[in-house]
Amino acid sequence: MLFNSFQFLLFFPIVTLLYFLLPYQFRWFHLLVASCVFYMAFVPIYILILFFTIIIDYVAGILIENAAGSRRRLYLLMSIIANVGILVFFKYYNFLSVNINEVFHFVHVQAAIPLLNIVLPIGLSFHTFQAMSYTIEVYRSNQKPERHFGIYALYVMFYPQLVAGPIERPQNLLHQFHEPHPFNYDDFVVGMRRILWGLFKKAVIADRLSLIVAPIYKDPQHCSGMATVIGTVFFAFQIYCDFSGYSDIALGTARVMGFKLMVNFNKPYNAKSISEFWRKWHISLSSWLSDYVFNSMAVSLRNYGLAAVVISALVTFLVSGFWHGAAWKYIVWGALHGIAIAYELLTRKSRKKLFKKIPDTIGRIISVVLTFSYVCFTYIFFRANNVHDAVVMVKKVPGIFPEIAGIARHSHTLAQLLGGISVSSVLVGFGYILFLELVHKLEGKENITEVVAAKSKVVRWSLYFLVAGTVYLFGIFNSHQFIYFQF
Amino acid sequence: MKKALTNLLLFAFFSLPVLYAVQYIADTGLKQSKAQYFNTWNDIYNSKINTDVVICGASRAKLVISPKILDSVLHISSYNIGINGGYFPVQDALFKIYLQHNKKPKYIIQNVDFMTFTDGNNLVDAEQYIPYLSNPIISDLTDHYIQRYTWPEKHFPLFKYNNHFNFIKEGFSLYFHIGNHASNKLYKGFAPITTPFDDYFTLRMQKEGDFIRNNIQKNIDSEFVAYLDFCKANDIKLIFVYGPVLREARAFMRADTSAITRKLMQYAQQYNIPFLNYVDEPSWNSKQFFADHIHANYLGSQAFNERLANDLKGIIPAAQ
Repeated sequence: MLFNSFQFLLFFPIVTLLYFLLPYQFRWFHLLVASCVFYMAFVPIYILILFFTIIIDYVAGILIENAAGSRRRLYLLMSIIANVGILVFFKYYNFLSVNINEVFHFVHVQAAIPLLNIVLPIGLSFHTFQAMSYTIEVYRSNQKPERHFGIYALYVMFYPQLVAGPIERPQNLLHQFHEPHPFNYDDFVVGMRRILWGLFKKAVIADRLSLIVAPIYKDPQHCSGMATVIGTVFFAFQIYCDFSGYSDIALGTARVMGFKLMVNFNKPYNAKSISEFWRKWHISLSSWLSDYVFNSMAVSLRNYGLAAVVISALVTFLVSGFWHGAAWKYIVWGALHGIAIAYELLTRKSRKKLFKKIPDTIGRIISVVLTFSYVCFTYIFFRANNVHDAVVMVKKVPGIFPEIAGIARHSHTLAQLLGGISVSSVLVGFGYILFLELVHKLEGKENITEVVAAKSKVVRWSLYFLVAGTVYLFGIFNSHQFIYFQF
Repeated sequence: MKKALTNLLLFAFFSLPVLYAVQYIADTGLKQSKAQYFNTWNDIYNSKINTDVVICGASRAKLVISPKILDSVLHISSYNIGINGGYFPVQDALFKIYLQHNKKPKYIIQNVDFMTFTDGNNLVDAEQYIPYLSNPIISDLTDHYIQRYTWPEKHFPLFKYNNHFNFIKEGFSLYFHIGNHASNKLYKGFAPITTPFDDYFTLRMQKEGDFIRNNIQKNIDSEFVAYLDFCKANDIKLIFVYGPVLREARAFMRADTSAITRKLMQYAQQYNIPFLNYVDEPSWNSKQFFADHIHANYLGSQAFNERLANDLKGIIPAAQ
């Protein structure tokens, strides 16, 4: 079930109202059933996979708690192998088979691993990582195992964050299912505001920008440098509004019921470095990878000094790339981020020295622009159909300069450079980006919902009508999936 | 909880009347529109047609058969209610609505062709139905085609205008008689094409192969027969007209067109319907007469209509 669908418009108020009408002791069951309904709206049969991992991890958690020494490690390993095994089978089997077959072909071995017709269960990477964080935290003794099977199942399946995160940690979420959460008007208002803002970002901005991005990336051979740059910048904002919009709706729906989920985005395009970008972008995933991959590796390789940190960063971002999808383009995307982080780690001192010579504001602007440009460059690999197409598009980027000169000389027009995309739709796209950045500027260090809360009643209600009206009239609702659902 | 529900109700209380009022104004305004998109619909809805001869069919009727020439040669009054991209269910729905608001015609010039028994899953120019979605026939029709307008569009106030702000604006300006309004170049529903030959069918053929899926579908065949029965029962005389098609267009078609023609001839015989078949006319088999492979251009339409009018002389008597 999509958050921007008519079904959800019915589902959400019914589930929420029932939640508050039911006595506290039945609420977990109600939420679990609702989450099953929510998940089964996609591919019903795949709920069995979820149940399988839930049972494995529930039992593993209790076994780890009761065991000692190497047995604890064994139970953790078994749980991780089960989770990763499911992920590998459903997400990576065909990718691995194709590549192994390529290797066989290359070394002239007459063998081929058959390909399977597998549909990736929606949100598999998200709930697998969330489930894994539970057993790891129990193993690390940071979390007591959950004895209530239903509540543990709800921890994995809680519908607001089931299919695209935030990837929660047991310490933050599990205890909340044991709390009564009486209706709280402030939570209701904050949650509803967040849902509205998330819907605006998704339906009005992201899906509109996607109408420009999709044709550019569909035919990379024939697009100009200008179209490549505009398409990529628009994709940067499309994916941000799509994913942060989803996260806002997830946080909002949970908040209305009194649950506080972790914040997933914090103005990532204002980051002054790639490291900072990853502290602001998909925070729940980057902190997961940092806690369970980067830190573990860096600690075990600590004797190698800075090299250990650099290698850990590279490996972590390769894992991040591979987590996003079973394709070389995601691995290249992850590697590019890993290389950037490694570069930042290795040149920290010299960059600091250099930036001391430049006034703060200018230095900040240069850093933000460079970081955003690099992030956009990596997005070409993320969004392109494959690495070959991405390389074709990267080669086109420098062409933007002679194209701009050509416009100045009237040898061609902007419309010609944009191919079939209208100049007015591009201007509207830039208008939305400008509006989004203006909102970010207004927010300062706060969240938009907090900024709105500080305004007078008249201003607040006018804003509600305006935003809701814009979503209603200008939002795109024809079942555009959220980009991160595919992961 | 009480405060939250009160606020939600207040939000709805203030929003709903505004949304309903805006929808009413937009609908009413657009129902007066002369823009090509809405003009024929509005003529039908406002009972402005009431002619003895009605031309029905898809784009090959709308863009090719000229009431001007037929009226002047035959001394009759005709109107072209052909509809672009209209599969037979669309034509049938349009005719049913026509009968709700206009007198029964004596004659129908029914354009028939390689697509007569074929249905698709897309509703071409779906936006033209927006002001009339409350009509049950149109509502059923839009449901039939990949649910182009779903329950929310039909029942939430103003939601059918989602992403069609230009229509709301046009509706308002027509309702309040402000500014200049879109007009059309139609003559009694007829919309000739004056642009040069467009070879996009060939380009599409290169990409998709034989992309015109002109098969005989059982359900459409039954619907067509029901239409023939209705006309017979109501004493409406049908005339089948199969307009010219560039011969090379057959390469784009998946099914054998002769089977479709045979079926049409069979119905013509069975229901005693005159069948004027110009599809293989060699004199028009030239790109100078066509806007694309299947639609005659203005020049082709002139030549064709003069011939058609002459051939109809013995079939449709002049108005008294």
